[in-house]
Amino acid sequence: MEYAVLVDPDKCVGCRACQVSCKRWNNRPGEETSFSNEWTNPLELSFNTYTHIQFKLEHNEATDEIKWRFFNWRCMHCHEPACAEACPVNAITKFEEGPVVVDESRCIGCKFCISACPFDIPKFDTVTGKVSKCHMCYDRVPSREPSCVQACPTDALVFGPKEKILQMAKDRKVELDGHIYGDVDNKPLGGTSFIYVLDTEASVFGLPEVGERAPVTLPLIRNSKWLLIPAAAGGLLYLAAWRNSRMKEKEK
Amino acid sequence: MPKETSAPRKKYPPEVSKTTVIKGMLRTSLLDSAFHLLMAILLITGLIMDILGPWLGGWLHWMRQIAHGYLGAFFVLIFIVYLAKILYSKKMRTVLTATNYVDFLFYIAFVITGITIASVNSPWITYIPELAEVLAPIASYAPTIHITGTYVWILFSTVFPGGFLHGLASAYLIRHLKKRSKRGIQ
Repeated sequence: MEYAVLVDPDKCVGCRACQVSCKRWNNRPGEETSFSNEWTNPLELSFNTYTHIQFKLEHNEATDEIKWRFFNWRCMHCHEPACAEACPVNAITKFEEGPVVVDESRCIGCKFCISACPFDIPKFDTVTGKVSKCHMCYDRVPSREPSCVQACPTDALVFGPKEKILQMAKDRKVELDGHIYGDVDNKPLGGTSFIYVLDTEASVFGLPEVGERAPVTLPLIRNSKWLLIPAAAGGLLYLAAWRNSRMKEKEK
Repeated sequence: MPKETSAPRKKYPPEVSKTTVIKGMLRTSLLDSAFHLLMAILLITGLIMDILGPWLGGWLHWMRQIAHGYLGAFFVLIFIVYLAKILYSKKMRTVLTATNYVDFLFYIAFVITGITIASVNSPWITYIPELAEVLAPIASYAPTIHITGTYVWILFSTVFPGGFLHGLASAYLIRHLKKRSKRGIQ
Protein backbone atom coordinates (compact mmCIF):
# COMPACT_ATOMS: atom_id res chain seq x y z
CA MET A 1 0.00 0.00 0.00
CA GLU A 2 1.22 3.50 -0.82
CA TYR A 3 1.46 6.09 1.94
CA ALA A 4 1.70 9.86 1.80
CA VAL A 5 2.17 12.97 3.91
CA LEU A 6 -0.16 15.94 3.75
CA VAL A 7 1.66 19.26 4.16
CA ASP A 8 -0.57 22.13 5.21
CA PRO A 9 1.52 25.34 5.40
CA ASP A 10 -1.53 27.23 6.70
CA LYS A 11 -1.29 25.24 9.94
CA CYS A 12 2.48 25.53 10.30
CA VAL A 13 3.72 27.85 13.06
CA GLY A 14 7.42 27.68 12.09
CA CYS A 15 8.56 26.01 15.31
CA ARG A 16 11.17 23.95 13.41
CA ALA A 17 10.40 20.85 15.49
CA CYS A 18 10.45 18.84 12.22
CA GLN A 19 14.00 20.05 11.48
CA VAL A 20 15.27 19.05 14.92
CA SER A 21 13.45 15.75 14.98
CA CYS A 22 14.81 14.82 11.53
CA LYS A 23 18.38 15.52 12.65
CA ARG A 24 17.94 13.43 15.78
CA TRP A 25 16.30 10.43 14.14
CA ASN A 26 18.87 10.31 11.36
CA ASN A 27 21.76 11.12 13.68
CA ARG A 28 23.00 13.90 11.41
CA PRO A 29 25.46 16.47 12.79
CA GLY A 30 24.57 20.12 13.21
CA GLU A 31 26.07 22.64 10.81
CA GLU A 32 27.09 26.23 11.05
CA THR A 33 24.13 28.13 9.65
CA SER A 34 22.79 31.64 9.27
CA PHE A 35 19.43 33.38 8.97
CA SER A 36 17.95 34.73 5.77
CA ASN A 37 16.35 38.18 5.82
CA GLU A 38 13.06 36.38 6.50
CA TRP A 39 14.56 34.19 9.25
CA THR A 40 14.80 30.93 7.37
CA ASN A 41 17.50 28.84 9.05
CA PRO A 42 19.27 26.85 7.70
CA LEU A 43 19.11 28.67 4.38
CA GLU A 44 18.93 25.50 2.32
CA LEU A 45 19.02 21.72 2.48
CA SER A 46 22.38 20.00 2.68
CA PHE A 47 23.94 16.56 2.92
CA ASN A 48 23.20 16.59 6.66
CA THR A 49 19.97 18.58 6.59
CA TYR A 50 17.11 16.68 5.02
CA THR A 51 14.33 19.13 5.84
CA HIS A 52 13.86 22.74 6.82
CA ILE A 53 11.17 25.37 7.22
CA GLN A 54 11.17 28.24 4.78
CA PHE A 55 9.91 31.52 6.24
CA LYS A 56 8.20 34.02 3.96
CA LEU A 57 6.92 37.42 4.97
CA GLU A 58 4.07 38.83 2.89
CA HIS A 59 2.94 42.41 2.94
CA ASN A 60 -0.57 43.23 1.76
CA GLU A 61 -0.30 46.76 0.44
CA ALA A 62 -4.06 47.25 0.25
CA THR A 63 -4.69 46.50 3.93
CA ASP A 64 -1.13 47.21 5.12
CA GLU A 65 -1.16 43.85 6.90
CA ILE A 66 1.70 41.44 7.08
CA LYS A 67 1.44 37.67 7.02
CA TRP A 68 3.99 35.02 7.83
CA ARG A 69 4.08 31.89 5.74
CA PHE A 70 5.94 28.86 7.05
CA PHE A 71 6.66 26.10 4.63
CA ASN A 72 8.16 22.66 5.26
CA TRP A 73 10.53 21.67 2.44
CA ARG A 74 12.32 18.41 1.60
CA CYS A 75 12.22 15.62 -0.99
CA MET A 76 8.81 15.22 -2.66
CA HIS A 77 9.19 11.43 -3.10
CA CYS A 78 7.88 11.37 -6.68
CA HIS A 79 5.99 8.40 -8.09
CA GLU A 80 8.39 8.26 -11.06
CA PRO A 81 11.53 9.82 -9.61
CA ALA A 82 13.83 11.42 -12.17
CA CYS A 83 16.78 10.96 -9.77
CA ALA A 84 16.33 7.18 -9.78
CA GLU A 85 16.02 7.15 -13.56
CA ALA A 86 19.28 9.07 -13.91
CA CYS A 87 21.31 7.02 -11.40
CA PRO A 88 23.80 4.81 -13.28
CA VAL A 89 24.43 2.48 -10.32
CA ASN A 90 20.83 1.88 -9.16
CA ALA A 91 21.58 3.53 -5.82
CA ILE A 92 18.13 5.18 -5.67
CA THR A 93 15.03 3.07 -5.06
CA LYS A 94 11.36 3.96 -5.07
CA PHE A 95 9.62 1.82 -2.46
CA GLU A 96 6.01 0.79 -3.00
CA GLU A 97 5.11 2.41 0.33
CA GLY A 98 6.20 5.76 -1.15
CA PRO A 99 9.75 6.62 0.01
CA VAL A 100 12.49 7.33 -2.54
CA VAL A 101 15.71 6.25 -0.83
CA VAL A 102 19.39 6.82 -1.66
CA ASP A 103 21.59 3.85 -0.72
CA GLU A 104 24.74 5.75 0.26
CA SER A 105 26.86 2.58 0.16
CA ARG A 106 26.05 2.21 -3.56
CA CYS A 107 26.31 5.90 -4.42
CA ILE A 108 29.39 6.86 -6.47
CA GLY A 109 28.77 10.61 -6.24
CA CYS A 110 28.30 11.16 -9.98
CA LYS A 111 25.69 13.88 -9.24
CA PHE A 112 23.43 12.81 -12.11
CA CYS A 113 20.51 12.71 -9.66
CA ILE A 114 21.17 16.33 -8.69
CA SER A 115 21.03 17.39 -12.33
CA ALA A 116 17.87 15.36 -12.95
CA CYS A 117 15.82 16.44 -9.91
CA PRO A 118 13.51 19.33 -10.83
CA PHE A 119 13.14 20.22 -7.14
CA ASP A 120 16.91 20.52 -6.53
CA ILE A 121 16.76 18.11 -3.59
CA PRO A 122 19.71 15.64 -3.56
CA LYS A 123 22.79 17.20 -1.97
CA PHE A 124 26.42 16.23 -2.52
CA ASP A 125 29.00 16.11 0.25
CA THR A 126 32.60 16.91 -0.67
CA VAL A 127 33.97 15.01 2.34
CA THR A 128 32.27 11.67 1.72
CA GLY A 129 31.81 12.19 -2.03
CA LYS A 130 28.24 10.89 -1.75
CA VAL A 131 24.71 12.21 -2.15
CA SER A 132 21.92 12.19 0.41
CA LYS A 133 18.37 13.43 0.89
CA CYS A 134 15.20 12.86 2.91
CA HIS A 135 14.18 9.20 2.83
CA MET A 136 10.70 9.65 4.33
CA CYS A 137 11.90 7.61 7.32
CA TYR A 138 11.60 4.38 5.33
CA ASP A 139 13.00 2.63 8.41
CA ARG A 140 9.85 3.67 10.34
CA VAL A 141 7.17 3.66 7.66
CA PRO A 142 4.45 2.38 7.68
CA SER A 143 4.32 1.07 11.26
CA ARG A 144 5.36 4.49 12.57
CA GLU A 145 4.94 7.90 10.97
CA PRO A 146 8.02 9.77 9.72
CA SER A 147 9.99 11.57 12.42
CA CYS A 148 9.06 15.07 11.19
CA VAL A 149 5.35 14.21 11.18
CA GLN A 150 5.54 12.83 14.71
CA ALA A 151 7.22 16.02 15.94
CA CYS A 152 4.76 18.45 14.34
CA PRO A 153 2.63 19.97 17.14
CA THR A 154 -0.02 21.56 14.90
CA ASP A 155 -0.77 18.74 12.43
CA ALA A 156 0.71 20.75 9.60
CA LEU A 157 2.17 17.38 8.60
CA VAL A 158 -0.14 14.34 8.55
CA PHE A 159 0.89 10.82 7.54
CA GLY A 160 -1.40 8.04 6.31
CA PRO A 161 -2.46 5.81 3.43
CA LYS A 162 -2.35 7.82 0.22
CA GLU A 163 -6.06 7.44 -0.52
CA LYS A 164 -6.93 8.84 2.89
CA ILE A 165 -4.41 11.68 2.56
CA LEU A 166 -5.81 12.60 -0.86
CA GLN A 167 -9.32 12.78 0.56
CA MET A 168 -8.06 14.98 3.41
CA ALA A 169 -6.30 17.21 0.86
CA LYS A 170 -9.48 17.58 -1.20
CA ASP A 171 -11.53 18.50 1.88
CA ARG A 172 -8.93 20.99 3.04
CA LYS A 173 -8.72 22.48 -0.45
CA VAL A 174 -12.43 23.31 -0.26
CA GLU A 175 -11.96 24.83 3.20
CA LEU A 176 -9.08 27.02 2.04
CA ASP A 177 -10.44 27.63 -1.45
CA GLY A 178 -6.93 26.74 -2.55
CA HIS A 179 -4.87 24.29 -4.59
CA ILE A 180 -3.34 20.86 -4.19
CA TYR A 181 0.27 20.52 -5.29
CA GLY A 182 1.71 17.04 -5.84
CA ASP A 183 -1.45 15.21 -6.85
CA VAL A 184 -5.07 15.77 -8.03
CA ASP A 185 -4.59 19.29 -9.54
CA ASN A 186 -1.13 18.58 -10.92
CA LYS A 187 1.05 15.48 -10.76
CA PRO A 188 4.74 16.33 -10.89
CA LEU A 189 6.62 13.24 -12.10
CA GLY A 190 3.55 11.03 -11.79
CA GLY A 191 2.44 12.48 -8.44
CA THR A 192 4.31 12.84 -5.17
CA SER A 193 4.15 11.24 -1.73
CA PHE A 194 4.33 14.65 -0.06
CA ILE A 195 1.17 16.51 -1.00
CA TYR A 196 0.74 20.23 -0.35
CA VAL A 197 -2.57 21.93 0.18
CA LEU A 198 -2.06 25.64 -0.40
CA ASP A 199 -4.25 28.67 0.13
CA THR A 200 -2.54 30.53 -2.70
CA GLU A 201 -0.59 29.90 -5.89
CA ALA A 202 2.23 27.34 -5.71
CA SER A 203 4.64 29.90 -7.16
CA VAL A 204 4.25 32.02 -3.99
CA PHE A 205 5.99 29.20 -2.11
CA GLY A 206 8.61 28.82 -4.82
CA LEU A 207 7.26 25.45 -5.96
CA PRO A 208 8.34 24.80 -9.56
CA GLU A 209 6.10 23.81 -12.45
CA VAL A 210 7.08 20.21 -13.17
CA GLY A 211 5.70 17.97 -15.90
CA GLU A 212 3.92 14.69 -15.23
CA ARG A 213 6.73 12.74 -16.85
CA ALA A 214 10.49 12.96 -16.56
CA PRO A 215 12.19 14.66 -19.56
CA VAL A 216 12.31 12.35 -22.60
CA THR A 217 16.07 12.78 -22.72
CA LEU A 218 16.51 11.05 -19.35
CA PRO A 219 16.01 7.41 -20.49
CA LEU A 220 18.81 7.99 -23.01
CA ILE A 221 21.29 7.86 -20.11
CA ARG A 222 20.48 4.19 -19.60
CA ASN A 223 19.69 3.18 -23.17
CA SER A 224 22.46 4.85 -25.15
CA LYS A 225 24.89 2.08 -24.20
CA TRP A 226 23.16 -0.11 -26.82
CA LEU A 227 25.04 1.94 -29.41
CA LEU A 228 28.04 -0.14 -28.40
CA ILE A 229 26.58 -3.11 -30.31
CA PRO A 230 26.79 -1.54 -33.80
CA ALA A 231 30.12 0.00 -32.74
CA ALA A 232 31.46 -3.42 -31.77
CA ALA A 233 30.09 -4.95 -34.99
CA GLY A 234 31.82 -2.21 -37.03
CA GLY A 235 35.04 -2.78 -35.12
CA LEU A 236 34.89 -6.52 -35.78
CA LEU A 237 34.29 -5.93 -39.49
CA TYR A 238 37.35 -3.68 -39.66
CA LEU A 239 39.38 -6.26 -37.78
CA ALA A 240 38.31 -8.96 -40.22
CA ALA A 241 39.11 -6.74 -43.23
CA TRP A 242 42.53 -5.83 -41.79
CA ARG A 243 43.34 -9.49 -41.10
CA ASN A 244 42.26 -10.41 -44.61
CA SER A 245 44.49 -7.79 -46.24
CA ARG A 246 47.42 -8.83 -44.05
CA MET A 247 47.01 -12.47 -45.08
CA LYS A 248 47.03 -11.41 -48.73
CA GLU A 249 50.21 -9.40 -48.18
CA LYS A 250 51.87 -12.40 -46.59
CA GLU A 251 50.85 -14.62 -49.50
CA LYS A 252 52.46 -12.15 -51.91
CA MET B 1 94.48 5.57 -46.86
CA PRO B 2 91.48 6.69 -44.87
CA LYS B 3 89.44 3.85 -43.60
CA GLU B 4 86.12 3.43 -45.35
CA THR B 5 83.18 3.88 -43.04
CA SER B 6 79.75 2.71 -43.91
CA ALA B 7 76.67 4.33 -42.39
CA PRO B 8 74.34 1.79 -40.76
CA ARG B 9 71.64 0.84 -43.16
CA LYS B 10 68.17 1.93 -42.16
CA LYS B 11 65.47 -0.62 -42.48
CA TYR B 12 62.43 0.26 -44.51
CA PRO B 13 59.70 0.09 -43.35
CA PRO B 14 61.11 0.79 -39.88
CA GLU B 15 60.31 -1.66 -37.13
CA VAL B 16 57.55 -0.22 -34.99
CA SER B 17 56.40 -1.59 -31.67
CA LYS B 18 54.13 -0.22 -28.96
CA THR B 19 57.19 0.85 -26.97
CA THR B 20 58.72 2.80 -29.85
CA VAL B 21 55.41 4.53 -30.48
CA ILE B 22 55.07 5.52 -26.81
CA LYS B 23 58.71 6.67 -26.67
CA GLY B 24 58.22 8.64 -29.85
CA MET B 25 55.08 10.27 -28.52
CA LEU B 26 56.78 11.28 -25.29
CA ARG B 27 59.79 12.63 -27.19
CA THR B 28 57.64 14.58 -29.62
CA SER B 29 55.23 16.22 -27.17
CA LEU B 30 54.59 15.67 -23.50
CA LEU B 31 51.40 17.72 -23.77
CA ASP B 32 50.13 15.53 -26.58
CA SER B 33 50.94 12.38 -24.63
CA ALA B 34 49.28 13.67 -21.45
CA PHE B 35 46.20 14.69 -23.40
CA HIS B 36 45.75 11.28 -25.02
CA LEU B 37 46.60 9.33 -21.88
CA LEU B 38 44.05 11.27 -19.82
CA MET B 39 41.45 10.96 -22.57
CA ALA B 40 41.94 7.19 -22.59
CA ILE B 41 41.66 6.96 -18.79
CA LEU B 42 38.49 9.07 -18.75
CA LEU B 43 36.90 7.05 -21.53
CA ILE B 44 37.71 3.68 -19.97
CA THR B 45 36.65 4.65 -16.44
CA GLY B 46 33.48 6.27 -17.78
CA LEU B 47 32.57 3.13 -19.69
CA ILE B 48 33.30 0.90 -16.70
CA MET B 49 31.07 3.03 -14.46
CA ASP B 50 28.24 3.18 -16.96
CA ILE B 51 28.27 -0.45 -18.01
CA LEU B 52 29.25 -2.19 -14.78
CA GLY B 53 27.71 0.39 -12.42
CA PRO B 54 24.46 -1.50 -11.77
CA TRP B 55 26.50 -4.50 -10.56
CA LEU B 56 29.52 -2.94 -8.89
CA GLY B 57 27.76 0.08 -7.35
CA GLY B 58 29.73 1.60 -4.46
CA TRP B 59 32.92 -0.25 -5.44
CA LEU B 60 33.29 2.28 -8.23
CA HIS B 61 33.19 5.26 -5.89
CA TRP B 62 36.98 5.78 -5.85
CA MET B 63 37.07 5.47 -9.63
CA ARG B 64 34.43 8.17 -10.05
CA GLN B 65 36.10 10.41 -7.51
CA ILE B 66 39.76 10.06 -8.45
CA ALA B 67 40.18 8.55 -11.92
CA HIS B 68 37.16 10.29 -13.46
CA GLY B 69 36.75 13.28 -11.13
CA TYR B 70 40.12 14.71 -10.20
CA LEU B 71 41.83 13.46 -13.37
CA GLY B 72 38.86 14.85 -15.31
CA ALA B 73 39.48 18.24 -13.75
CA PHE B 74 43.17 17.96 -14.66
CA PHE B 75 42.19 16.95 -18.19
CA VAL B 76 40.17 20.15 -18.57
CA LEU B 77 43.29 22.19 -17.79
CA ILE B 78 45.42 20.13 -20.19
CA PHE B 79 42.69 20.41 -22.84
CA ILE B 80 42.64 24.19 -22.62
CA VAL B 81 46.42 24.39 -23.02
CA TYR B 82 46.34 21.84 -25.85
CA LEU B 83 43.59 23.71 -27.66
CA ALA B 84 45.37 27.03 -27.20
CA LYS B 85 48.59 25.52 -28.54
CA ILE B 86 46.82 24.23 -31.65
CA LEU B 87 44.88 27.42 -32.29
CA TYR B 88 47.86 29.74 -31.86
CA SER B 89 50.41 27.58 -33.65
CA LYS B 90 51.10 28.29 -37.32
CA LYS B 91 52.79 24.99 -37.94
CA MET B 92 51.22 22.88 -40.68
CA ARG B 93 51.35 19.79 -38.54
CA THR B 94 49.23 21.30 -35.86
CA VAL B 95 46.83 22.77 -38.40
CA LEU B 96 46.46 19.29 -39.79
CA THR B 97 45.93 17.92 -36.32
CA ALA B 98 43.27 20.47 -35.52
CA THR B 99 41.32 19.99 -38.69
CA ASN B 100 41.70 16.23 -38.85
CA TYR B 101 40.37 15.79 -35.40
CA VAL B 102 36.78 16.90 -35.73
CA ASP B 103 36.59 14.73 -32.61
CA PHE B 104 37.49 17.96 -30.85
CA LEU B 105 33.86 18.99 -31.15
CA PHE B 106 32.97 15.94 -29.11
CA TYR B 107 35.73 16.68 -26.60
CA ILE B 108 34.43 20.21 -26.14
CA ALA B 109 30.92 18.86 -25.51
CA PHE B 110 32.30 16.36 -22.98
CA VAL B 111 34.31 19.03 -21.19
CA ILE B 112 31.40 21.48 -20.96
CA THR B 113 28.90 18.86 -19.78
CA GLY B 114 31.48 17.34 -17.43
CA ILE B 115 32.05 20.71 -15.79
CA THR B 116 28.29 21.26 -15.64
CA ILE B 117 27.72 17.97 -13.84
CA ALA B 118 30.63 18.58 -11.49
CA SER B 119 29.79 22.22 -10.88
CA VAL B 120 26.93 21.44 -8.53
CA ASN B 121 29.71 21.28 -6.00
CA SER B 122 33.48 21.62 -5.62
CA PRO B 123 35.89 22.31 -7.16
CA TRP B 124 34.45 24.46 -9.94
CA ILE B 125 31.63 26.13 -8.07
CA THR B 126 33.86 26.99 -5.13
CA TYR B 127 36.47 28.74 -7.20
CA ILE B 128 34.23 30.16 -9.94
CA PRO B 129 30.72 30.74 -8.44
CA GLU B 130 29.52 32.44 -11.64
CA LEU B 131 29.69 29.06 -13.37
CA ALA B 132 26.48 27.93 -11.66
CA GLU B 133 24.39 30.59 -13.43
CA VAL B 134 26.15 30.22 -16.77
CA LEU B 135 25.69 26.45 -16.88
CA ALA B 136 22.19 26.36 -15.33
CA PRO B 137 20.30 26.16 -18.68
CA ILE B 138 21.99 22.87 -19.63
CA ALA B 139 22.23 21.44 -16.11
CA SER B 140 19.36 18.96 -16.48
CA TYR B 141 20.53 17.79 -19.92
CA ALA B 142 24.24 17.58 -19.13
CA PRO B 143 24.33 13.90 -18.01
CA THR B 144 22.36 12.81 -21.09
CA ILE B 145 24.63 14.75 -23.47
CA HIS B 146 27.76 13.51 -21.66
CA ILE B 147 26.82 9.82 -21.79
CA THR B 148 24.96 9.65 -25.10
CA GLY B 149 27.66 11.79 -26.73
CA THR B 150 30.32 9.32 -25.62
CA TYR B 151 28.54 6.37 -27.23
CA VAL B 152 27.83 8.32 -30.42
CA TRP B 153 31.52 9.26 -30.54
CA ILE B 154 32.56 5.62 -30.06
CA LEU B 155 30.15 4.54 -32.79
CA PHE B 156 31.50 7.07 -35.27
CA SER B 157 35.09 6.33 -34.36
CA THR B 158 34.72 2.58 -34.89
CA VAL B 159 32.26 2.44 -37.76
CA PHE B 160 33.83 5.31 -39.66
CA PRO B 161 37.44 5.41 -38.48
CA GLY B 162 39.32 7.89 -40.59
CA GLY B 163 36.30 7.99 -42.82
CA PHE B 164 33.45 10.12 -41.68
CA LEU B 165 35.06 12.58 -39.29
CA HIS B 166 38.46 12.70 -40.88
CA GLY B 167 36.88 12.82 -44.35
CA LEU B 168 34.97 15.94 -43.35
CA ALA B 169 38.12 17.46 -41.94
CA SER B 170 40.19 16.63 -45.02
CA ALA B 171 37.52 18.12 -47.31
CA TYR B 172 37.60 21.29 -45.23
CA LEU B 173 41.41 21.40 -45.27
CA ILE B 174 41.66 20.89 -49.03
CA ARG B 175 39.11 23.64 -49.66
CA HIS B 176 40.97 25.92 -47.29
CA LEU B 177 44.34 25.24 -48.96
CA LYS B 178 42.86 25.76 -52.44
CA LYS B 179 41.53 29.14 -51.36
CA ARG B 180 44.91 30.08 -49.98
CA SER B 181 46.78 28.99 -53.11
CA LYS B 182 44.35 30.95 -55.35
CA ARG B 183 44.92 34.04 -53.26
CA GLY B 184 48.66 33.46 -53.64
CA ILE B 185 48.42 33.23 -57.45
CA GLN B 186 46.43 36.46 -57.72
